[in-house]
Amino acid sequence: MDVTIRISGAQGEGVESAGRLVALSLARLGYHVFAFRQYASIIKGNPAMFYQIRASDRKIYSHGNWNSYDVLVALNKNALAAYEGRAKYVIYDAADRQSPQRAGEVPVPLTEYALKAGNKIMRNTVAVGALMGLLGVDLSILAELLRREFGEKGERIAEQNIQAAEMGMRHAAKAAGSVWGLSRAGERRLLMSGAEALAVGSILAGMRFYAAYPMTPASPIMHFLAEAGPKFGVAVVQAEDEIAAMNMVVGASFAGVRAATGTSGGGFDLMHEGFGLAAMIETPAVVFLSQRGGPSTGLPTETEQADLLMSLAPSHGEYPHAVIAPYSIEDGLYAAAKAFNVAEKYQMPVVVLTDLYFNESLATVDDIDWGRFKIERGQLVTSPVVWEEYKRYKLTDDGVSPRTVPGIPGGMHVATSDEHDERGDVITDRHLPEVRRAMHDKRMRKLAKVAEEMEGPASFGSGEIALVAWGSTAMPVLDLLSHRRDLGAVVFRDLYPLNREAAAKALDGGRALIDVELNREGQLALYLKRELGVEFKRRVLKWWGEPFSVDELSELV
Amino acid sequence: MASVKVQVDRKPMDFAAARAPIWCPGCGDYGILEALRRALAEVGARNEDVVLVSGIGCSSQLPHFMKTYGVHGIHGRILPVATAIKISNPRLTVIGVGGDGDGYGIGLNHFLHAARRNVGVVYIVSNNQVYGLTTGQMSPTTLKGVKTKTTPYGSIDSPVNPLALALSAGATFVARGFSGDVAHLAQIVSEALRHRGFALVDVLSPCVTFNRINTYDWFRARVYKLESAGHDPADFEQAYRRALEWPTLDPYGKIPIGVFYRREDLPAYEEEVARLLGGRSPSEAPLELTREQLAELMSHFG
Repeated sequence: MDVTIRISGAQGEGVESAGRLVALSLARLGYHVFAFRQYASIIKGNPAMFYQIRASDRKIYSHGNWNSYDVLVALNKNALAAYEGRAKYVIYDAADRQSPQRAGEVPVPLTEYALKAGNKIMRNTVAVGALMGLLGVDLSILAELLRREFGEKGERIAEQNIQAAEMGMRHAAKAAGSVWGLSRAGERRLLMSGAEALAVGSILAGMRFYAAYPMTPASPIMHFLAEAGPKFGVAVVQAEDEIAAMNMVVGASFAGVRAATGTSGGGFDLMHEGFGLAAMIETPAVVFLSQRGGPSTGLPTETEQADLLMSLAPSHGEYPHAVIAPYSIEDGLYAAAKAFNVAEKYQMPVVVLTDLYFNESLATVDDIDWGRFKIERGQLVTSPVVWEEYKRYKLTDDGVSPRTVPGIPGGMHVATSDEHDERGDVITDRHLPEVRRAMHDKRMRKLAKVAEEMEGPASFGSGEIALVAWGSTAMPVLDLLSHRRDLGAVVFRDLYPLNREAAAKALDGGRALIDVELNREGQLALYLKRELGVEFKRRVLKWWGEPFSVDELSELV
Repeated sequence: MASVKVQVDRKPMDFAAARAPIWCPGCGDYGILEALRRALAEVGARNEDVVLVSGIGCSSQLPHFMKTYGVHGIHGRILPVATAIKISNPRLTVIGVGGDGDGYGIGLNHFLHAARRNVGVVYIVSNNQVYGLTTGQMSPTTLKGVKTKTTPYGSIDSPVNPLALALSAGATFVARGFSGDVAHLAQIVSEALRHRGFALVDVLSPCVTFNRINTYDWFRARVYKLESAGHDPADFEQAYRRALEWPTLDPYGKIPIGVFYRREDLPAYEEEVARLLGGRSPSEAPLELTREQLAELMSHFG
């Protein structure tokens, strides 16, 4: 069983809540679910945004196909015209068309039923009811979710919505029957967005301070943390700008609290100087960089992977840092947790690189491996030291020095953005090339050690052609592999510093390599060519604000 | 400030680092350094509980001459760093120190936001009305008409009024001191350290190398103490009027120093954060979740 549904309508017409309701219902029935939202930078309008929900009885990674799906739910005429040709079944408002034009059309009096239930606003609920009728899903699942959604205060509204859904369901069942007859596929599955996965991974990693400035598509991380965080001791500060957010992360971390910020490309541009500060004063910091179309304001609500090269060298000068790009929503949990450990063990900033497609999509997650959230604090000093002897930036073989935090007696030192000596004393009032050289080398030495902790790329399938992808582009690639046995895939997740040996090994083997990325220049291919001399046979690239889809990829490769 | 631990019999030199200051002889920053040490001794601070946060500029070198924790960060970002430290661990005494270019120029945005948040940070601004470390350019507090390297024909920019800005932004402790009167400045800083919430201490601090106009003598001829003038720091409107007294408008005008405004009844930002977190700060929250907390966290996704 593998069903794909596209719900489309104007922004503000309830597409979003309908999509979530459908995705949650199917997850509750035990199906693997993936849901993706295509929308525009406008609050009300944009006649045909859509939510695409896919459910399957086996593991899936992406929204599936772009040009064909099983059911279209069209909330208005524009949506109907835009997408109806690609669906087997079409649910639309009976008021939008006099009579069905072809098989599979299921006109439902959405507005009429909604008004009957109490309010026109519930058209989307009627449509969801009709969809559930077609899928053969029991009303009780929907009813439970609607009651939870509106809570005790909204009991009347919940009951009206349930009535609306029921009318839609009965109508569809009568008109088309239960086409799919979906029954319970297993235990209820957890459904979360990529942004939520990052937030949850952070809480589990012991993050207790998050500062950010609103920016799509990173904001949902802050939304979740602001709501759920306080119960776990997470302070959330909406900073006055991204510069402040980044510097707040440095401050909290200096005080010994695990801290992070989240933003998109433009906000990260503003953070660069503070990012370099974290590297220079060897203070842990985690940045969730959620890409969208650039440059400048670019495509604020559409996805892209064009900040890879920037993430490899954001701030001026040479300094150590790490870049991790989760390749599935579930992996977002682990990637976030790893970022905090790497940041603290190596006392450096770490970028967790995702994109809009990752952050905003919803997916069911498999059984979570709780063992992967072990907190490692590295050289954190928690007992008093002798001030006269303590060297915060002691020269060590691996470049990591013992770190005290305020409150620890004897551990007083100044964390200095200027070049400094082992004690942290500023040296820039003199010319001390030997100190500069020793301190710079010390910091850069950390990279070799971090590289050992970086996982090599994951290899999938054994076809003669290998698709090479990173981050969220792995999601449709992995789905493609399930029905293209001629293909394999190499997926990069821990991008920098590169585990060169493992990367070289994964890319070797005489297979033809195809670079698949959501940018115009093939940034991963450029990076791998530079690092390993890897040659790609072809590049499959896309830079117009859409994720890759499985059908599209299948044609392209 | 109830949670801050104090130690009696502290002396100013208990806060001196091994390293001697590197400022030009006669620099106003020496007065600030001495006043700060005296004030910390006066309030009984413990070295390990004090964090000095500075930015970039001559005065931002100050943490290096103090035996305390310090972040000598980047230009203009003192207050975001200090804010986060205070939120993370409210038991710490967090002091921001930097220049007028750092705080009223590149960092002005953060200044207003720190004031409106009322975060428990003492912010000492060494206001010398010039960029010193970059060798003498116009600063945001340079008087109109003054010649500097970047204003060779006289500045055409009106200066900012930091005290009036702080008052408008909601600061709950607004004061001005003078480097030439260390005892008075130390008294102001002590009061700022005991204040609940954000405290601005703007310090008239002559640059003896690049500012030949606003000299010690220039200030001595103009400053007067608010406490001797019958000023009531509880009166906001009076404080605002006093904040507008400045020689820009009247070349022979006086400059008030002392505490302009103070109110202690508003919660500090770190208290508000701790309230949201159930009466604890982020540094007090356990890193690992209990089984019940884990279940609660995952309940969001069913």
